[in-house]
Amino acid sequence: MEKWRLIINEGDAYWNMAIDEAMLILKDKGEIPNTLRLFVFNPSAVTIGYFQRVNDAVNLEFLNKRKILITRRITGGGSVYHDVNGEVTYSIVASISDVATDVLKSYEIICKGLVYAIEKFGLKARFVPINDVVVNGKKISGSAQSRKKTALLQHGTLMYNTDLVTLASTLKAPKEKLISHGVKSILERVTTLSRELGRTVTKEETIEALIEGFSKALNVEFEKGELTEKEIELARKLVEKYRSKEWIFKR
Amino acid sequence: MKKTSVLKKIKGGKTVKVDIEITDDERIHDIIISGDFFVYPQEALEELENKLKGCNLEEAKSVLREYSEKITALGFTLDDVAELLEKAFKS
Repeated sequence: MEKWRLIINEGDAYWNMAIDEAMLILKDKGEIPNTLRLFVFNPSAVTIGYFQRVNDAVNLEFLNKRKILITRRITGGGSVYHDVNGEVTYSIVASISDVATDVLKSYEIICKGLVYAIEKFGLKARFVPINDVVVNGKKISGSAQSRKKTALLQHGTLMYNTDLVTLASTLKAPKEKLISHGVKSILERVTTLSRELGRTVTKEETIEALIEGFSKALNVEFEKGELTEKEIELARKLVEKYRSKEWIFKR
Repeated sequence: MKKTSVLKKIKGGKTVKVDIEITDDERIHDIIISGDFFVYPQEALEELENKLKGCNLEEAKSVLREYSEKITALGFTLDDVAELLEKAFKS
């Protein structure tokens, strides 16, 4: 079976996004192996999609009050609340030819890893194109993909015990979605492993399940590794962008 | 100068918003197309926005048609953007 590198670590929002971009750039240059990185955002943070406007996507006042960090991703898609105690993020950096040339197809292949991971818990999960995974009709995971010439980066979430009330206060639903509900509607639309199982799921269990899920979906074996000096060095250069007002308020 | 925002909720869950400034002689002065969608290649959206600046409605629609063939849009189509432009110009 083909071997991919596995990295398990954590960092703040800026560092995490800098590492993801550094890995994508270096993968595109053929300088690093295909990699699965599993990590948490410490402290909790919000990321917004590349094409989103900050003020439409998040409640900045609430973020400031609760000292929740925010940055913009290089990937499209929607805003995400990364709860340090309730969500594991995955990043897959790979050659496009090792996943699928067709973008939609590659979302499906990678998201299958999330479906398998959730099934390890005895739950039934379903991939909903383009980029969601749902359990009992509620979203439990979202993903987003960015591409360079020969490499792709897909990162996404798996909520195992996210504080959904904070999530609801953090993210702004588009005006036409707002109609009336707020928190109640968020609770109807999103869920966590713990909520579905009626017990507290841990980060460690979630990470274990994700490794097995992606291994099955991608038909690869993971070997624990570390970031290279090159990746860290490039991420150090990129991290300033993710901290900057220009980048965060780009739109 | 007229400044307006128009939004469309796309079937499947994504949202596209157009924030636009239209001059008195009915041309796009500034435009931002935003939302939780995906565009590949990603740089193409900003490039498209720049091309739309200075266009009247008909010219803008033809630029959008040209770009529909150049980009992969997931979660929305450039027809949705054309529809929003029409709405903005008529508002």
